[in-house]
Amino acid sequence: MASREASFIAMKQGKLRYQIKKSKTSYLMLAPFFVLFFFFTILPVFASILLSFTDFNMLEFPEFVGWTNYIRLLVNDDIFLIALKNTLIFAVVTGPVSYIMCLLFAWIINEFKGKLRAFLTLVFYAPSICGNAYMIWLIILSGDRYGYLNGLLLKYDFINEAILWMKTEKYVLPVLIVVQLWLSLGTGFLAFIAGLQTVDKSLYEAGAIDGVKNRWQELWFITLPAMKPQLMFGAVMQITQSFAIADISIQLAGNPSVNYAGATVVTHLLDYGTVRFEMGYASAIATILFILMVGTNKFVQKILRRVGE
Amino acid sequence: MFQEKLWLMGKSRLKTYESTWRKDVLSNQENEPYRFYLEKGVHTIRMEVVLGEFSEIISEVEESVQELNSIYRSVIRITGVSPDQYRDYQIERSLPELSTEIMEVHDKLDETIKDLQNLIGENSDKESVLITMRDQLEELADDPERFAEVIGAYKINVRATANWITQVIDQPLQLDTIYIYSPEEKIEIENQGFFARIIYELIRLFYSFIIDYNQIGNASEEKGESITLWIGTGRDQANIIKSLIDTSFTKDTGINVNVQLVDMNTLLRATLANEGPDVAIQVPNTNGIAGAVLLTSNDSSVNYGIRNAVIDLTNFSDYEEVAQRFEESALLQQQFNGATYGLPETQTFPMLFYRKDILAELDLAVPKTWDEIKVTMTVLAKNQMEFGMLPNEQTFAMMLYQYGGEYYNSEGSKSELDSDNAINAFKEYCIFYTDYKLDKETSVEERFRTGECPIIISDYTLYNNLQVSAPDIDGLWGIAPVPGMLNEDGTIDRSVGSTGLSSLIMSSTEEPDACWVFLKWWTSSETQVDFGYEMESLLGEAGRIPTANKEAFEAIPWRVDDMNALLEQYKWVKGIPQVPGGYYSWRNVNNAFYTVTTDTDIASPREELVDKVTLINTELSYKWEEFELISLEK
Repeated sequence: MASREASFIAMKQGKLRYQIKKSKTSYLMLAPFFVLFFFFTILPVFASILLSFTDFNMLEFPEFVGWTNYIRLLVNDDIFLIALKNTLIFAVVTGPVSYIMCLLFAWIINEFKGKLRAFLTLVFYAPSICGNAYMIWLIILSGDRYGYLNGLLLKYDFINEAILWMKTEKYVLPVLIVVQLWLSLGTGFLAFIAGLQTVDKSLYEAGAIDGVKNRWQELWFITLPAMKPQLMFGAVMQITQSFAIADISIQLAGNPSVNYAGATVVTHLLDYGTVRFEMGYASAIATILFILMVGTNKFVQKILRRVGE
Repeated sequence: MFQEKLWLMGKSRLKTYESTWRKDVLSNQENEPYRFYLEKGVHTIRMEVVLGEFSEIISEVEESVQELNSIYRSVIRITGVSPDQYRDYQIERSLPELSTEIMEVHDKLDETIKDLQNLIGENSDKESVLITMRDQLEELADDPERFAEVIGAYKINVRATANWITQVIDQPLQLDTIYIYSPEEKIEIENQGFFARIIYELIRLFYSFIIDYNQIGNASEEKGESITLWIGTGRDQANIIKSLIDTSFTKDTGINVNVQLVDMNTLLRATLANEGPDVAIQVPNTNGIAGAVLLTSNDSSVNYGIRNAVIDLTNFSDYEEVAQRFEESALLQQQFNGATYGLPETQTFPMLFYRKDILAELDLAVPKTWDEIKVTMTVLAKNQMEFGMLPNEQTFAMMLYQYGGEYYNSEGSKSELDSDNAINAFKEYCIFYTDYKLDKETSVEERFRTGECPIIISDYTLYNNLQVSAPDIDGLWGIAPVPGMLNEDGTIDRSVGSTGLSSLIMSSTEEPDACWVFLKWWTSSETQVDFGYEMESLLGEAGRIPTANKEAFEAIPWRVDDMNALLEQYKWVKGIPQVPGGYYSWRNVNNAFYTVTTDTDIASPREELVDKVTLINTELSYKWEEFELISLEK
């Protein structure tokens, strides 16, 4: 019995080795990416999971502390709850909205021809490639009466005195969401445009013969199913982005923001990692965020499989 | 040795700066080259920077800007800075002189523009700013009532004109070679070939792979003690420090120093990877957001120290002697639990800046106490002006100390911000932004220049900025100690907090003694004076360093009045103590502050602050546990 199992494993291994040998060119081609991916993505993820069970303070050797970080994080950390709430609001609002916006704009722009289409694509894509373009919002949202938004509102008597947009709790999150939406026509949007152009034209003719009555039906029954891979890609990008929002919050609202109104999971993580020298705790936050992202991605993929059904 | 001074007062032959090389022959107005008869012997060429004929134009524009600013102030006294377009302010009736004043400035500017055109030719980009200003003045002279509509544009134009001065003064010049030759000789100077430039750029590209741009000067190769030094500010500073080290430190002590210019945000990561330096100087606070170092206290030394990443300097036998160089207030933020983890390098604190001209116009004295400030504020408000003070940690610390409050208890294990004194200080701090409605987020420096905020409280390093970048108000402003609290015995308590950069010795060093010798040399008054002198000769007053060394500070060439004001304020300077978890104090005070100032109806300062102090205490005791410190007061 045992020997049979052993020989089975040996056969399997031999088979594996044989298979690797057989397709070694493919492995060789894969190697550069895999090496980078392993060292810069997989390894850090595991390192962070390991560190999350220690009290690593960045300067001294980490000590194992078991579940302490997680217990403190999930039971005792009120700010984490605020950050988590903000992140979920971000994800729920900006994720789908910007996803739909991407799709809609891609669909509309796809109706144009040639140079005009290229130009429009650039216009919509520009904010997200210009790195820190959102810095412009600092001027718009400046808190004295010389800020653009305050200036306008004062001029037309909507308000009596300047509002500190990024220092007043109730405005911080909505403003950040608006800025994030403005930024979010990114990679997903490009993928959609590319996807729309690869749809086989003959399908539309076939659809017309089979009784497609209007553009909406065309979109739902032909265009979208034909570009499922791009939809999937866009969704993954969009979700990852909205969970990882931190930069705009830090730049516009500061870190820590006033009463943590603009705190997201990632800013909370950065707070612990850099200001408080608690890398172990920050790693625990990162691990939770990682699980959250993977979970949501799985969920969204399930939904997307139903497109066109 | 025979020397001769040759004054070449050519008609500004050196034209405006271009980004390419060019050959200029020193010659007179008729393009006839100057000739010098040189006798046998040694001759010296000396160059001196003078503005030439520009200086006259600049002083004319400076005068105009002062008048433009005073027109601006007299107008906003009636209209405010954001006037209602539809209201008739009757500016002409309240200021009958205004039209003629505007016309005078207009004529003066017009003349200046003509002079400028004579000097550098018509249609240069230099004159456009002045022309815009002049044209607007013409329009306003016809109908001063139009001020209500264009006051914003007017202010922008005045500011542009003021900035024009700084731009014109700044005339870069790079000399590559000086040729001296006989008039008969024809010389060919080759430097601009297209291919030559391409080759040059290629070589540069190639070298960028080899040269370590972080390394300043040569790495030492000689044998003997050698330490690595990281500098956290700029290239200019690093170059000067390197040359000071070469000419004095290494020569005297035989210790070699590798100087590297590094962004201090990487210090933590480098230490973590064991790639860190032996000594780091000019270290800002750990969450070093640019500029924030002026506003919050510097936590680096203590944060590194309690995690054993830097050396406790009290271990060195002559520490006490070295500590005498600094005020206790400067050392405070380097210390915790009896250890000193770094030496202070700079120390800055708030001062009161005031506009002499405006206070004279309004017949106001420089306020000495907060009560006087409040009276002054009402007078300013009547004239549509404001008192400028931004809410930041320095402002809060100033109030806290003047009310007799403290940040922590004596051992740093518990927040003292819930004491009566601290709560009263916090209340007062909030009142300025609730009842008196001071702006919380604005550029007070800019408004100080325009005169909208003729009295501001700001870090004293603003002094240097104003000296350099605000020629339009040159001589019209002064500094004074901050307002204080009147004690019962008639003295005024003007306490302020302070902050500054630190110097650290990393624990990973193998040469702690050499590092200590270096730090002693670096913070000594001679080195600090030399460094300050070199910085000022390179960057002008903008490069003045706010050194923490007492002797070196007094050696800086301040104006007498300003020096007296600074020394008076120095007597009252305190530090902001640093404890494990200390970052939580200011963060929570700030949160409480914004809750109070935005929810003015509901939130009371006392409740908000006491609430937040509970959070601070939780964090402090958590950190004490983490570092296994034992509190004596519990």
